[in-house]
Amino acid sequence: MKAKFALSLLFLLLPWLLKALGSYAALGSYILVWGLAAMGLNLLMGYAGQVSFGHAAFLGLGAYGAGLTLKHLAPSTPLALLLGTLLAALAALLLGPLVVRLKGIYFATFTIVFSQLFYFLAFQWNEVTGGDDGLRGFARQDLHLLGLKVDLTASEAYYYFVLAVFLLLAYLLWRAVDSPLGRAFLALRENPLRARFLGLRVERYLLGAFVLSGAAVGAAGALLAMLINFAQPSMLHWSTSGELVMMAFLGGRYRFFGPLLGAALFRVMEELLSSVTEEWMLFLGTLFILAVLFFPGGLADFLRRWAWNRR
Amino acid sequence: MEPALRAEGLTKAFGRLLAVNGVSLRVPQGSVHAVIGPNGAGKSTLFALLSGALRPDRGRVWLFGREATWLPPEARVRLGLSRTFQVSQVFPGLTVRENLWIALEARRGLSPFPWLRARDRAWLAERLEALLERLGLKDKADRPVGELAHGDQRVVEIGLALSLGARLLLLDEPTAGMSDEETWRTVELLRALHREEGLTLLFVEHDMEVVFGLAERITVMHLGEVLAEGTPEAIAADERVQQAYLGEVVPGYEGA
Amino acid sequence: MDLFLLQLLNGLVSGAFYALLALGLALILSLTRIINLAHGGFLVVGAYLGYVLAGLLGFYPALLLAPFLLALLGVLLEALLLRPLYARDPLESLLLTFGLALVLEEAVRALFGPVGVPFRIPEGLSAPLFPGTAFFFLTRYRAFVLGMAALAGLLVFLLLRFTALGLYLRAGAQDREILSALGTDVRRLYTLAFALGVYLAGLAGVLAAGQLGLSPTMGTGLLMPSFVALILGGVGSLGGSYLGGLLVGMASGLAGQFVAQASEFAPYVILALVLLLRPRGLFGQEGFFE
Repeated sequence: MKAKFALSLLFLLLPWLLKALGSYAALGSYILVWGLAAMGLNLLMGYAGQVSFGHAAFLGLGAYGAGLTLKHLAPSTPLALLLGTLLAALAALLLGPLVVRLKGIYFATFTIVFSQLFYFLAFQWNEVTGGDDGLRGFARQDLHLLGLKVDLTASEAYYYFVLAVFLLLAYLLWRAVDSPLGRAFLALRENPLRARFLGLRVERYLLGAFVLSGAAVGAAGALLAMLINFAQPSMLHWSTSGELVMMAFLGGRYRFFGPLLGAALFRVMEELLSSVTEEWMLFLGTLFILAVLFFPGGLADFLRRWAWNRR
Repeated sequence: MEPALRAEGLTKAFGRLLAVNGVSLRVPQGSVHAVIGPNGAGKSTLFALLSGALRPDRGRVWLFGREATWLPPEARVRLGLSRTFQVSQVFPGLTVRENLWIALEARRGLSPFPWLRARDRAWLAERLEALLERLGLKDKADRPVGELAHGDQRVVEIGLALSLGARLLLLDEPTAGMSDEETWRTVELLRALHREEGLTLLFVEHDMEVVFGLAERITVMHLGEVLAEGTPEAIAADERVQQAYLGEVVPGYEGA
Repeated sequence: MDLFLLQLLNGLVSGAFYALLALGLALILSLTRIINLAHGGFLVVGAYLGYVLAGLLGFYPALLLAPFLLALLGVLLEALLLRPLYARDPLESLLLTFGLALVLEEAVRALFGPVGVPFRIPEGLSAPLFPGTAFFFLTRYRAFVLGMAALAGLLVFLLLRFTALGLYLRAGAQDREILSALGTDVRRLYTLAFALGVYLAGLAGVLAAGQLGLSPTMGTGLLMPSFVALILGGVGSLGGSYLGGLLVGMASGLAGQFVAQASEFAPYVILALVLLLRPRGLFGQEGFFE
């Protein structure tokens, strides 16, 4: 209980803590955004047991969706968030039926492929997406809550908005996971054959997991776009998908908040190491390999065992 | 009363190999039926056709009077069928409790929903405890099934079928690779379930003691076709069966 | 019409790289069941290895030696990193090869810098292929690449068809359990398959260096179409993947004729078509990945 209180305090005061440590307030938002994305991916990876190297597509769709909404539709932050998420969810719904029918190498390759397809689209469709230069010319707007105007321009202010959205979506994800639906996903992961022989329509549940995870990652993408007021094709590249996979895995794909931990680890390391060496990815890649070999449960699992042993 | 399972003229070929050829079967509700035969006789293929893993080239299948020939496994489960596999197919990373809980939720049709109502939870908890008691798994309830002994995994697998409320259980070599003690335990469990729940059992087995100890009727398959069918006594005395098995069936064997 | 042939030739050269890579991927996949996402990384390391050796020994010795050394590296990495994962969830070996791809690429970047390095090919090969024609800019190197790829393909075919090792490899690709039941050391076979696959990647790397120049990212660009080639040819068919590589290359080359950027896009379209219409590819075995 004490740990939870301390953690809550940590998250509430994060922007100032980060500044005190010589970093910048927006890092907190970065961690939450990527954490949400990794947790969204993990719904498919950790809970339903399917590795997707294509989820950057949803991140990008959420980002561009939000950006385009702010740029062309309405100066509303919540609307941008909503439409970005819906765009990603829609894409997941359309791609889903094909994807869930594929297995093994076909599934893995296809996820890479659709990530690249959307990347290519963002890159080429200059008129709409701004091409290689990315989408600019939009910015997060003030919130109008109950007659009050909340200015989100400052990093600290936006952090609390992101935190609020994160908590809401994390709660929704938790409800999905800690329920018969979530347990059906587990059945899919553990033994699809047996799941079928329990009367569960495997493809349908996989589709559900795919769409839910796509929507969550899309929401993260929308938040990201509004964090930097910018959307770019690299958000859709399959290497970005790979980063999400690494975050979820490193953090711990069998624990609910594991991927958040992984995202934090990733981004903090990036911050710390990139000032020291340009090859921080090399270090992270090696870490990842070691984790796959020796810590398949990730950091969360490691911490849990460590805490258990100390009792 | 409709038979639990009825099959007419089931035929399945793989290229030029006729794995199953014109097999018919009739399993009345509440009976115990065994399918035996030498390796390559087509028993596994037959099971796949009955459980929905394969579609037949010809022939039809009915489950409790409903046509099931083209139904996928998920749909057959909803008609009351369940099956076990040579290697127990359970959820290895989850505990016994979790395994059975998922099966119970599936039975109640709760699986698609991201919420669980209090009264459903109560129903599930009660059923779960009763099942654990029944299966003798109370002391192992919180261990991952993957860590359990072979025999216990089989019991969990049968428990999954029970949780589902299955009325017909297909068992593919239920005692394969088991010690004598585990075999005995499995047979006793199946016998009890048959007696107390009225479960219909259809199983493939190589262990003749198990076959003759449990079965009320036996179908003998050979080279994809039904060679003989009848009571254990009739089968034991059948010369064609003895020939096909090359002396594996002991002449004059008395059923238990 | 001549332009058409030119595009076809260009496509064929790309196809040669895809074919070598796809064949290597197929060998590894058939035997170890591992989807080697690090294959592109091996290609890059092989290319830079060739660059270093060429500086020391000349182009031809480098071409001969670099893939071999790379294969040794492959053996080492397979034993250290992949072997522990054979018994585990296939998801984990997929993730490991992904991490390995990253590490290999970043290692090259760390050692040689992010910008590409030019790779000099021998005088004889830089000579025009069709001197005095409109296509004087085509060098003999292209023919050389095609020739080497054909030779490599032929040698692998002969190896598989007519040697004892080849028999084991083919048998292992069909059914690993039988082989181990017969007492064969399957692990040695896995290592060999992996080594051979990586060798082909190294060969493709050195050849590609001469054609496209060296850069740390050259692997990724060649890897994706190779996966498409693997699926087009049919998972489980070694010859199919080689042929698939050539087809993907040619199709990309031809597509580039009509729409400027289409050649990059073409492999993805091919993949989508295959998955929708005939998932098992041209020569694939049904049920290989159920």
